[in-house]
Amino acid sequence: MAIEVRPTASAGSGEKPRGRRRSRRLVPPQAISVAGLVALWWLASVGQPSHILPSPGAVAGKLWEIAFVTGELWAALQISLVSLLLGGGLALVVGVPLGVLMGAQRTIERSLDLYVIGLYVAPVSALTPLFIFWLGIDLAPRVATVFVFAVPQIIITCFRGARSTPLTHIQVARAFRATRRDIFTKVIVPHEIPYVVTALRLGLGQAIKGMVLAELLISTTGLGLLLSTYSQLFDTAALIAVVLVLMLLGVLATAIVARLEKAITPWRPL
Amino acid sequence: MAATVKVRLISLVVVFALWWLGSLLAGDLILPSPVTVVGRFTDLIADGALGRALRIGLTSLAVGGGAAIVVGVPLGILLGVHRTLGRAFDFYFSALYVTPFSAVAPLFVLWFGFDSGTRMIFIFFFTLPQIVIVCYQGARATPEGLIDVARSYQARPRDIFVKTILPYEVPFIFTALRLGVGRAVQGMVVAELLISAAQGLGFLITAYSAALDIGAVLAVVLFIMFLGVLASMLVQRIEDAVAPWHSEVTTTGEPSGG
Repeated sequence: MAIEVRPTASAGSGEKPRGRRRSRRLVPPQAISVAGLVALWWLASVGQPSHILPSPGAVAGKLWEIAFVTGELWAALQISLVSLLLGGGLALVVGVPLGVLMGAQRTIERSLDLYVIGLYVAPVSALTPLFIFWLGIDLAPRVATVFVFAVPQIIITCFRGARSTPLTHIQVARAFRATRRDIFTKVIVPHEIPYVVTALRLGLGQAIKGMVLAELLISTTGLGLLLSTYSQLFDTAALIAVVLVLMLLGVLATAIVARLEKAITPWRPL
Repeated sequence: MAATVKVRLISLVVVFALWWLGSLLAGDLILPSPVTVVGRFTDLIADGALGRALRIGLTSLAVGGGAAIVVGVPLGILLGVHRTLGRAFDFYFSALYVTPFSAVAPLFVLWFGFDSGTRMIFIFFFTLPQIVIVCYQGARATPEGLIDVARSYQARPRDIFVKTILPYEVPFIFTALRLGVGRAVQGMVVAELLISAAQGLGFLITAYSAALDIGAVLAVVLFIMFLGVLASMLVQRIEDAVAPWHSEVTTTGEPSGG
């Protein structure tokens, strides 16, 4: 493929802890910086009308309210997760085999790589209005949006996995008279497994982005509905609360799969 | 090479044939044929609608994306070089990177209103994390051993930075530009769709969909997607021409955990 997307391993290799004083520090810098940010936010919000910049306390209160008093957050989350799971699942089901096949078969790679790279680089959000026209404004176009956001990333990661199977392994298999089929199922596929988990992590991040965009643009429902309702009501505290929840969702989902990734392949630096 | 070209040509022909067949089956209203789309595209160019929309979009792209580069490159390097600052601030950018940023659009509209400035700010924040992350990784890609050698030759911190770290950083800056341009185009499209401008690209798409002129919608959408691909390819070309030895630098642009 023209655009190589290589594992993060090489980028992460510079990540070795450089500071030797690390253990001596009592308060981690992260904590200071978060505390500082919240303090700044709080200072900035003093004297501001709450629809412009609510205080951190007000946002926390609103978050508590929509999560545990009215419960609208969970209801919205449930609706959102349906399209996320359907679209993301579909992207996995289509993307993983396609990526592996492209990695294993030159002809398949050459006939499809242009489109995959195109979708990967192109701003796919431009497609959403077309999905509305073709699929209506219900669940289907949202699932389609999540799908096109996630699938190129998944295909490319799995392609990379299949392609990176060490040639020597294949040659050894061949020397032992493995058939092409054996090489595929017993050499390439096992090598592929950690890449599938990476694909899951990267794809999930993309899928969440697609989900939010679809809910804002197509049918205002789920978390997207909360966002647009609160912004129309000028309820900025609630709006910020939902944005923070989405941020957390993205961070948590990626972190959990990254854990899984590390557990499966402890030898690979993340 | 010849085989590659042949396979690609066949696959292009197959895709166009399928598209055409689909449009014959579904009707030109639902899925306009390639001919219709090309026709609408030339119309859009002839009456200047596409040009006007493009100018609006590209202006906010240039300002927002340009500002992200100007701020993001030094910031990323600083966070990468300065250990404590890095630990204190790098996770904000990793978090911003995975945040579904379109969720912030309503907030920006509340704060800054429905105008081109808001779209520029949106594109800026959409692009910034990508650039900071790659430049940050670049500053930390310098092998520890080289820094130690420089130190044992009594290099001052300034020398270490200019003569050891910076040379490792340069290819990462190019990568940051390439990924950043792609990201800025994506941000522009999202901004145009969510924070729509009269006569902008987002407006064109919404107006033509409302008028059920799917040929025109497809023409605009395909053109935007083509633009995104072209922009990335262009920066890649520049990168290859200016710094051919840099092709071995690898980063996906993903924040690396830690």
